[in-house]
Amino acid sequence: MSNREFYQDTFSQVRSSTEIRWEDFQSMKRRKNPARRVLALAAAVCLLAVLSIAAAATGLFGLRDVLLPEKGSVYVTDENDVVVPGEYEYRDFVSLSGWQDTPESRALAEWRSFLEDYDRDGAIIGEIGNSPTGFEEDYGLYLVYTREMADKLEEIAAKYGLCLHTRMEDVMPEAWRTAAGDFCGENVMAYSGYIYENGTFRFDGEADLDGYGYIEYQFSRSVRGAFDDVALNIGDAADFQEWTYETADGTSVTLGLGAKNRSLILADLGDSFILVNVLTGKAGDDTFSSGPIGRAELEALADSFQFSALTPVRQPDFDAILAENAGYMEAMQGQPVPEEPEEDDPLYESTGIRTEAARDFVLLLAERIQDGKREEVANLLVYPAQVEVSAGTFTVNSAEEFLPYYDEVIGQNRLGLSTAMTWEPTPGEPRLYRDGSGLVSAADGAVWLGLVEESVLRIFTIQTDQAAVRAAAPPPGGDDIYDRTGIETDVAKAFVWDLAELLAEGEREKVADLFVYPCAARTGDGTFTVNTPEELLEYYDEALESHMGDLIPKLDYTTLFTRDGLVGVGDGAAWFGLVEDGEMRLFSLWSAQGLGVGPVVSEPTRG
Amino acid sequence: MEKTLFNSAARQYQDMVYRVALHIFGNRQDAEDAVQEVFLRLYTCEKPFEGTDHLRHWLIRVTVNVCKDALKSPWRRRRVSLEDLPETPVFDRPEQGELYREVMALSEKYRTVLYLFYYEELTVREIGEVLGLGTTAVTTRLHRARMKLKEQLTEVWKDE
Repeated sequence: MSNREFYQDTFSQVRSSTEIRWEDFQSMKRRKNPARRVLALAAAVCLLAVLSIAAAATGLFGLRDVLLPEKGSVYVTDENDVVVPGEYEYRDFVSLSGWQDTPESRALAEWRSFLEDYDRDGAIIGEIGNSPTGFEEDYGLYLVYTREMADKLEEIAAKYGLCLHTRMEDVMPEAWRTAAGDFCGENVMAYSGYIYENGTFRFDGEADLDGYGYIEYQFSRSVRGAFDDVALNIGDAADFQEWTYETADGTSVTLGLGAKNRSLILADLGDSFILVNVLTGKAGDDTFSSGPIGRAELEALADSFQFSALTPVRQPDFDAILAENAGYMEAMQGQPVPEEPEEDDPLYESTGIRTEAARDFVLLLAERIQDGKREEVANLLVYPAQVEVSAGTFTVNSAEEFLPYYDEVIGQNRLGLSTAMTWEPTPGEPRLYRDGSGLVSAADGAVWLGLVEESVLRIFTIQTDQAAVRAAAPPPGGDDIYDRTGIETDVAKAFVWDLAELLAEGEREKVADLFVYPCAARTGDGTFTVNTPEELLEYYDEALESHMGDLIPKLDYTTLFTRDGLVGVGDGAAWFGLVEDGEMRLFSLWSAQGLGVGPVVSEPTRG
Repeated sequence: MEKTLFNSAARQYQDMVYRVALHIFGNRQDAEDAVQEVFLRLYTCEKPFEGTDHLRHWLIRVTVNVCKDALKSPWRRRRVSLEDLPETPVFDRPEQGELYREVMALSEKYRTVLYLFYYEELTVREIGEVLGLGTTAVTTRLHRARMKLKEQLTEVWKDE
């Protein structure tokens, strides 16, 4: 009995005991919940009252001055973070670019308004998919996939006198000082992030506050004069208690202590605008911090940064940043994970992988996938691995063997995978999960990574809805084909599949390259010995091409068998095996009519 | 909806609606409430259905939405957990009871995907549409749910 039958047999015995009758519904009206409306109204009145009191007490609305004029729609999710189809909520969004009356924020508001109404049903982007749009080079740092969008972006930038970002580079943790100066206090850690050509940057980090514990945050600096399309969803602006504060280095900041699990630090430095999104508030849990915070903790966090070190803005030295990045990544890849566990790192405790190391690895992988660095990605996989593609499941033992499957497993989902590995609006924060297996997952389970024997991180699984590659145990000893031919069964299957594809696609040169030479081409005119692929091509049409309809269906990899050290398929339609250099070669390929290519017998050479 | 069609739909799909809801809620009382609500929606539904398959998919989708709405509602009555219920369904074979308990012990996101895949035989893409998830997320949940069942039901749940 299959699992499906077992499941169906079981749950078919679970039945509803409710009596459903037409007549019962006839007298029913659709249920309303007046209590819900009354409570909602009461809640709104309470919020207004609180807001009024707060406003009267502080005399300012700093947070409101960065609010975008229109609320943004977000998906509704349930308790399990599952999107509820077709349901949206409208939330307050703030600009990361400065106060709402600045050109940068006005441009952002106008762009978001345009996007809100553009391609609402996703028909255009759905049609484009992962295909190149032609706008990557000029507008790759913005959400632009049509000419209309590009024109609108240019129009808005010109209207507000802003330039567009032209370059963005990742910044590894050790490179922030080079990228932007010495603005993080000793108790503050900056993770990976990114920086634009004008000095705008964003990263995630963690601070250790005396007497409180750790607190995670997202740091954004937006340099004036450039258009930036990032906005931050803050839920409800009325949830924040605000006040001004002068930090230890003398910078005046606006602090917003959230009633829930988010707080904000705003600083206008003149040539740039700082927004720190603090991932806890008065009701925060221990997901991103040691617990709820109060005014004192938010002020202590603000004191942890030397905001004054960020002005005047310096143009980033990309060469220096990339050199720092390279050194860091080299050190990370070759460095065994430290053996002593850090406290308060549940990921480390369950997987042996530090959160920071996992984040950096995922970012590295995302970047390599996005950049199409096939060999580098392939080298990060654990081998042997099972490749699940449309043709079936095969074992690959090395990066070289995996590369032919790269496009189907990874390449065609390049953007989706790399995007899913990062967490907007700050792509420096991949979401990481663990499930007790000792592995860490990212991209909602599409990517799994873990430690290998050498104490370095490697990829155990990459899976999409079309294909997958998974670390596998070495092939079991009971592989008859391997025992008889030296070719593992999965490798033989892959060879047959590839051969059928090459024949079907008319890749005659590649097919010709597969044969053992000399060989004999048997056509309707006779049998001819050929010594090279080039010679075989002269007979290709007569010997092979005219019989494809008959030949290809016989190349079914489920019909493998062996004889005399060779592998046969499809009742002997094809024979192949290992030759002296260890490569697999085709010994014969016969149609049902007995025409095709095979071993040399005593026949004259043409001409 | 016309009476004959409604009664026919109730006979044919009431248990399906109940099972979907049971997998989402994990308790039978909420699932029975959902059955009432879903068929109330069917009763008031004026759209024509293009066939039984269309009706079945509509009912699954509405059931999922009704249950999600209920889960989100702060007014939702808190039910006792499955373990606290005095009676459990009686199955023909002991291993079926074991499967039922292990499925119900999974979190909702795994239960729902399992049910839609194994019982209703929806494709991964169809499940994604019903739940508002990408196919990758569905595949991942399905994979994890299978692994969890395999861990717990070593004897009766086969490798796939």
